[in-house]
Amino acid sequence: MQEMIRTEKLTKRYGDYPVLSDVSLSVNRGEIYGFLGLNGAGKTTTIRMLLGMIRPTSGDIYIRGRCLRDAKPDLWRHVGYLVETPYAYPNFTVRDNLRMIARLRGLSEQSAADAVMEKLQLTRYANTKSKNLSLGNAQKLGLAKAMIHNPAILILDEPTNALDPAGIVQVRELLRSLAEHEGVTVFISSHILEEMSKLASRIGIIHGGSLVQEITSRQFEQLRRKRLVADVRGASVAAAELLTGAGYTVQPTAEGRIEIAGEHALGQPERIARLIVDAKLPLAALKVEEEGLESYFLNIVGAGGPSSREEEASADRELEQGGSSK
Amino acid sequence: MRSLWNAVIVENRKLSRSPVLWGMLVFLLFVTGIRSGGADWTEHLGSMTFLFASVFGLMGFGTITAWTFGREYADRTIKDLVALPISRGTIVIAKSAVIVLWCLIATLLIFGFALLLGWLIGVPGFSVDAVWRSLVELLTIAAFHLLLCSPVALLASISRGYLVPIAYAFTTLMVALTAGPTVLGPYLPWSIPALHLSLSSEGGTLFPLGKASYVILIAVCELGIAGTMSWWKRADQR
Repeated sequence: MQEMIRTEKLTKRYGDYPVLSDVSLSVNRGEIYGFLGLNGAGKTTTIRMLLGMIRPTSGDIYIRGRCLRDAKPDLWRHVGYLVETPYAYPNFTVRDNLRMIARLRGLSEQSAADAVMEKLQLTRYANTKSKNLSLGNAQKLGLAKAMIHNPAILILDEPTNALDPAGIVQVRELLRSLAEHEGVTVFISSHILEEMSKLASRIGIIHGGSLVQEITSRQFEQLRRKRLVADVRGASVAAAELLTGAGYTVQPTAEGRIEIAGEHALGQPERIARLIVDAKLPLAALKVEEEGLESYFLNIVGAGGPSSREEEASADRELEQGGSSK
Repeated sequence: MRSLWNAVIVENRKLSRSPVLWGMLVFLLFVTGIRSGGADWTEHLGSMTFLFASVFGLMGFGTITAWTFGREYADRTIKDLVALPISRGTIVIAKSAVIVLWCLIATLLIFGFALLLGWLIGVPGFSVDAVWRSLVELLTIAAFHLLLCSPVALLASISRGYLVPIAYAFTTLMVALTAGPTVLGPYLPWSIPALHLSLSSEGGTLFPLGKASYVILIAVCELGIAGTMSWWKRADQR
């Protein structure tokens, strides 16, 4: 599979202050790579370096196999980008802003602007000055500027910020379609975890300037901690004793329920139900609860409380077994 | 070459539709209007050329340059210009070309306006020679002031906006007005155009100041261009 983006030990320091440390990643053709991180984690710095806006202190970047250090400007023919909040010339209309970008990219102004406005449903705002656009439409204008030349690589920094739910779905479907049908490579940063899990085929988690984990979206789903929770009204102690006796690992919860851990329990919850019912204990509910993406993410980046490091180590161990750990 | 042409078209579109350009032009025409008149055409046009040499060039050209480069940072559109199939150096050249074009257009408009006013108010002693001499002087002064614009572009780029370079243009104006008449005048880049004008009017030679003065103007221009190019090519665009 063709490698479209590669970074090798990418590092950026401002004086003695490290912003990015040894970030190595690779994105293949047609992949949607989600770059997840908290504010200030180094997402935008990485994106600016990928676009040559910031020079790395050390390390290299390759776009379509060409090292950015020696690349000529024609490399950017293949790259569309959106960095942070999109801005446009405020006194120019949407159409005029797009026509200028088309001209700078050597495209036919009218046809390129009309086509991308159609694609992003901006045609009705064509004659609106960009200073009068809503945040969501300004974001769409930013995306239109990134996509106007049908690039092979899209580098997008928080592209769904400020979009309404319909806009988010529209952009998600558009990016997915570009990746699946046209082989466009998408490198997308975000802190919206649910959005990333729905869109990205691979996810890199950055924290404190380091890439702490790189996993496929399928692994991401699997790694979210699951647990079986039983609500045995007024008899949780008896139920816990019963299940412990049957070999399960049981823990009471703060809400008076019991939590049964382990694949054994998760795989066959009906056995647990039968045990409790046969013991004539009042089983009100039995359900599998999944750890939220947010709490998983916070655990990974070490911001989720005292147990987070343990869980991070455990997740890493699981990843190592899968051979994908960074 | 095609990419340079495309960049010039876009930069021209941005500047020609900017309220700053037209606002500045209206202001310069207004000042020209209130200072017009005189005993003859030489005095009438001389008054306009002196205004140009002492104030209009530094402030007018400086503001247009500050706006052309600084607006990209103020409007935060700079990031749209730094990863294009056009080199950053080409963008800087295109911006500079458009500044030169519009400063010359503004100069000629002011000259045409002064001619019209002279005719309307009936300034006596019209002579083609006086008009021609005044036009050559004006264009020479305009060229000197254009040489002084490159540090403004550099300051706009470094300060990421247009306020600092406009403040710089005001400061250079003050320096030129206060230090220009002293012995330092011929060596201060910003007072050289006005000194050149006053001496050429008296002596009738084309370049009345010492060589050092003209070398200083060219050196300032080259430093500004090299600095601006280097900044656009090498500095982090955060």
